[in-house]
Amino acid sequence: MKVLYDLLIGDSRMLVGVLLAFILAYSSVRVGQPEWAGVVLLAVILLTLLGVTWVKTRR
Amino acid sequence: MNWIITLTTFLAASVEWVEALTIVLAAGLTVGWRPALRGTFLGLGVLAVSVAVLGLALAKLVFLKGVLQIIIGLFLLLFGLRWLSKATLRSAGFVALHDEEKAFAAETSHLQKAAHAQREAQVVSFQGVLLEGLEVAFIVIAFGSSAAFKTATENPLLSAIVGALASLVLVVGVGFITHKPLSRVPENTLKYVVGLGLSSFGVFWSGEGLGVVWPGADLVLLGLLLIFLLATQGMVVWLRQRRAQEA
Repeated sequence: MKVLYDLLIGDSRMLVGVLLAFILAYSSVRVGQPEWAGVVLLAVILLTLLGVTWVKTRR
Repeated sequence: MNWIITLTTFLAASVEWVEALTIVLAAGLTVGWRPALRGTFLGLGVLAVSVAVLGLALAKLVFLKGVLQIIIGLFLLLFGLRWLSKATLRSAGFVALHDEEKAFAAETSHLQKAAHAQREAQVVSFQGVLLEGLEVAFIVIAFGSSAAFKTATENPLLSAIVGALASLVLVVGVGFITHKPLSRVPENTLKYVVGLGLSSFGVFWSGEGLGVVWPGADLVLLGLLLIFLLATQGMVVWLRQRRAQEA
């Protein structure tokens, strides 16, 4: 199971960030802002990528 | 044929096949080709069945288009972001570059010390091919299935499979001729480029599943690629500066 988890998910912080991005983007769509939803999605995913990468340099 | 999908899966699969080849070569040259090849073919067989079963299951679930786009986008993003993060850390000097010669030496030394070398060689080859190949399988299925929602005329899953198989033939062919790990393949650069592609497609397809309206429709993919490129390159420059200051 651990092998499969590492293979599919890898880093749980990435998973949380991406899921948060999905939730926020979907919320934007639901409140009638589908044009801004893409910006929200991309911004949160970029922040997740850069944040997780930065955290890994602190070890 | 969709050549963008073929090329992307070709590059992504090449990186994984090169790593699998290193393991199989170490097993074959250290212990013998019979157990190494038995493990390899067993691994390839399990992979072929997995791709067929998952591919067919996804084809049956095509009516769940939006949900599938989100799930596939999620996995593309998890793969792509992981590769981008690793490539950024490697470029900035925080993580050592992946070295096939080193991996080959480590595997050879492990097999030389193994008590049941024949069995170990078969298991190691099977695991290497299966684990590296599963990443290829997920990318092939994710790319092939997601693109199928966009186009009715081409067969994207077939394009993805062709890309992965072509890279397998090339890597195995070169490995068979040289009998050496393919350490000259710019694996880190390839992983970075593929990471950019996977992340961009992941954002695009999950966005479509979530109901995002993308400006410029499909053309926004180029913009996403450029944004990921600039963000990661910016991060590399910043991290290098920080490292230099700390040194």
